[in-house]
Amino acid sequence: MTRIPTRTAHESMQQAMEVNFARLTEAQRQLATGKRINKVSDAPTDALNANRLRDQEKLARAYVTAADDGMAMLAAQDAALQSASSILIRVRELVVAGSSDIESGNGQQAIAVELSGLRDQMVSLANTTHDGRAIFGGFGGAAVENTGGMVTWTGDEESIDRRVSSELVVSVNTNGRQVFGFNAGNPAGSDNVFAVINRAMAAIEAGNADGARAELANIDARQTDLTSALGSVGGRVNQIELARTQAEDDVAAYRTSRSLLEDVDMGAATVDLKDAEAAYEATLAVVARMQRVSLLDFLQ
Amino acid sequence: MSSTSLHIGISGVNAARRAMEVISENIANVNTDGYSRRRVEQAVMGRLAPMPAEVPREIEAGVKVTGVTRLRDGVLDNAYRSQAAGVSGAQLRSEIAARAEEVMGPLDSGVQDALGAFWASWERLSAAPQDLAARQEVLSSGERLATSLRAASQQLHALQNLISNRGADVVGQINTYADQLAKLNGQIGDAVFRGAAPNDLLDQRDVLLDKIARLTTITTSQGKDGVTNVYVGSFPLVDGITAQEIVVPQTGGPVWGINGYPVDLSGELAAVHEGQTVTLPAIQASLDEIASALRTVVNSQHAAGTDLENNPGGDFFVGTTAADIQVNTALTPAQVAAGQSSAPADNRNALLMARLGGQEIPGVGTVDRLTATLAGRLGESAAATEQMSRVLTSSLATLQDQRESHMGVNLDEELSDLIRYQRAYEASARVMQVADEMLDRLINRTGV
Repeated sequence: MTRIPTRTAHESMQQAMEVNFARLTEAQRQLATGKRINKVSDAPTDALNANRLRDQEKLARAYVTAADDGMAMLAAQDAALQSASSILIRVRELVVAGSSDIESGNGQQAIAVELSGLRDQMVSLANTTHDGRAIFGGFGGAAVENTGGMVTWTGDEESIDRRVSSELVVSVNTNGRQVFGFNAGNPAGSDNVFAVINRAMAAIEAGNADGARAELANIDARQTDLTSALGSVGGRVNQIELARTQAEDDVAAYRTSRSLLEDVDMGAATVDLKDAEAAYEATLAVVARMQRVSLLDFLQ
Repeated sequence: MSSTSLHIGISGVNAARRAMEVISENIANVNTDGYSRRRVEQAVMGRLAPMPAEVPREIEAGVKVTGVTRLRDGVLDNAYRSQAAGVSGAQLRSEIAARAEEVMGPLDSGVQDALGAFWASWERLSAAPQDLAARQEVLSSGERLATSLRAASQQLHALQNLISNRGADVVGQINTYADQLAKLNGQIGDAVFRGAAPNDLLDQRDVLLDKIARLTTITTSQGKDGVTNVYVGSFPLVDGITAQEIVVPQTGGPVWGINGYPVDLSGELAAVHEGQTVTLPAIQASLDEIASALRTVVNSQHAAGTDLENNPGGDFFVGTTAADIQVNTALTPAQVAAGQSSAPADNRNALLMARLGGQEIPGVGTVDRLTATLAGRLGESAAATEQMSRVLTSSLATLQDQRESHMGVNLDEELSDLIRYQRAYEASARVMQVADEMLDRLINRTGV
C-alpha cells in the first residue's frame, strides 16, 4: 500500500482544484469570446485552413467590388448604345424622308439641321464617361473629337478588364472604334457613323437624292454594329452577374466554413461549461470535507 | 532483579521519549521542502549476566535507541534526478516554441492576414485604378504587411535576448548550487568524521542535488566521509569540497572555467543552446526569406508597370531582410504602377500584382506558401513541444509522488505513533513504579 504523506494529499487536492478551475475558465473564455482557436497551435490543421479561407474571403470580396464596378460600366454602355441606336433609327428616317422630299423640293434645310444635331448628340454619346472613364475610348480620355462637324477618332482600342472570379477576367468596355465604324477596313474612317451622317446631310442639302439614298446601306451597317455591341454588353453583364452571385455566395460559404473551424459550437460549449462548473463544485466540496478530517479530531 | 526492572524501565522511558522527540520533529517539518521523515531505530539491549559459566543465560535488559534514520529511497532519488533535467528542458523548449509562435501575430491580424489583405488591396485597385484612395490603400496595406514582418523580426530578436539571459541565469544558478554543495560536503564530512549523523545537512544536500538536477543532467557518486561528488558528463562539477565554475563566453555555448572545454549540454542548458543556435535562427531565416521573396516579386512586377506619371514603377518595397523591409516612402499614390501605360483607366499591372502571392520563385516557392508554411511550422512545433512537456512533466510528477510517499510526513501516522510511544512511555514508567514498590517491600517490610 502506498503511503500518502499529508503534504502530498494537500498538494494533490490543490492541483485538482487548479485543474478544474482552469477547465472552468477555459470553458468560460470560449463562450465569452466565441473562439475555439486563438493561435495556430490550438489546432494546427484547422487554423491553417481557417487562414486560407480568410484569404479566399478577402479575394471574393474584391471580386464582388470588381463585378459591381464592371456592371456599372456596362450599364452605362448599354444606355449609351441604346440611345445611339435610337438616334440612328431617326437618322435613317430623316435620310429616307429627305431623299424623297428632294423631289417635292421642300424641307431639306430643316432635315439637314436636325441631322447635324443628331450627329452632335452621337458625338457626346461616343464620349460618354462613367466615373471619369470614357467607356468607348479604351484607356484614352475621349473616344472622338468634333472639329466643326468633322469627327475624328482619338481613343484607343485597349480593353479594360475586371477580374470577377479567380478564373474569369471580363472586359468591361466597348471598342468604340468598331462600334462607330472607324474600323481598319476604312483607313480614312470614311464609313464611320459621323462621316455617313455628314455625307447624307450634304447630299440632302445639295438635292442629291441618290447620294443620300446611297448612305442608307452604311447606316444599316452601323446599326448592325450597334446591335451586336449591345448584344455583347448584355452577354457580359450576364457573365459578371453570375460571377458576382458566385462571389457573394463564396464570401458567405468561406465565412461559414471558417466559423465551423474557428468558432465555438455554442451548444457544446454551454454543456462543457456546465460540466466544468459541476466538476469544480464537486472538487471544492470534497476538498472542504477532506480538510476537516484529521486524527486530531478523534483524540481526547 | 528489581534493580534490573528499574533499569529496563528507565531505558523504555528514554527510548519512548526519544521517539516522541523525533515524531515532534516530523510533525514540525510536515511542510518543509525536501524534508525526509525520520524514524527512531531501537534494538533490544541484551547482555550476558555474570552467572556461573556452565549456564550462560541472556538477560534482556531493556531497549536502546540505535539511531535515527532518514527514510528515503535512493533509487527513486536517482531516477528523479536523471529525469528532472529532461523535463525542465522540455518545458523550456515548449515555452520558447509558444513565444516563437506569437511572432507571427494573432490569427486575424498577423503576418498572414496582412499578406492576404495586401493582395486583396491590389485586386481592389484593379477595379478602380483611377481612384487615388485605392492607390493609397495599396501603399498602406503594403506598409501594414512590412510592419508586421518587422514586428515579427523584433519579437524574435527580443526572444533571442530573453533566451540568452535565461542561459546565463541557469549557468549562474548551477554555479551557486555547486558552491553551496561543496561547502555542505565539507560540513557533512566533518560531522561524519566526528561520528554524528548529519540528517539535516543530508536533507539540504538532497534539496541542492534536486535543484541542480532540474537544470542539467548530473551523475553522483559517494565519496569518503559521506561527501557526494557531482559530475556533468564526465567532468566533476563538485569534487569533495571543490566546485568547478561554468562560464558563458561572448560567443558559443557554456565552457568550464578551469580549462575552457565545452560543457556537456542537457536539460535547460541544452534547450537554451538549441533555441539560440537552431530554432530561432531558422525562424529568422524563414522571415528573411519571406521578406526577400516578397520584395523580389513585388518590385519586379511593379517595375514592369507604368505609373500615372508615365514612368516605370519604382521600388515598392525597400530593405533586404524582415528587420528592415518597408514600403518605399518616396512612392506617392500616383506612382503606384497600376497599369502598363499612364492612362488612369489602365489596370493591367494591378491585375498581375494581385496574383503575385502564387508566383513561383525557382528554388524558393511562392510568398503565400512560404508564409503559410512558417505559420504552420511554428504552430505545430508549439503544439508538439507542449504535448511533450506535458507528458514528461506528468511522468516526473508520478516519480515525485512515489518519492514523497517514502519521505513525506503523514500527520495521522505521526499522531498514532505519538500515542503508541506515549503508551510505551506510560507503561515503562509503570514498570519503574512497580520495581520501586517491590524494593520498598523488600527493604522496609521484610523481617520487620
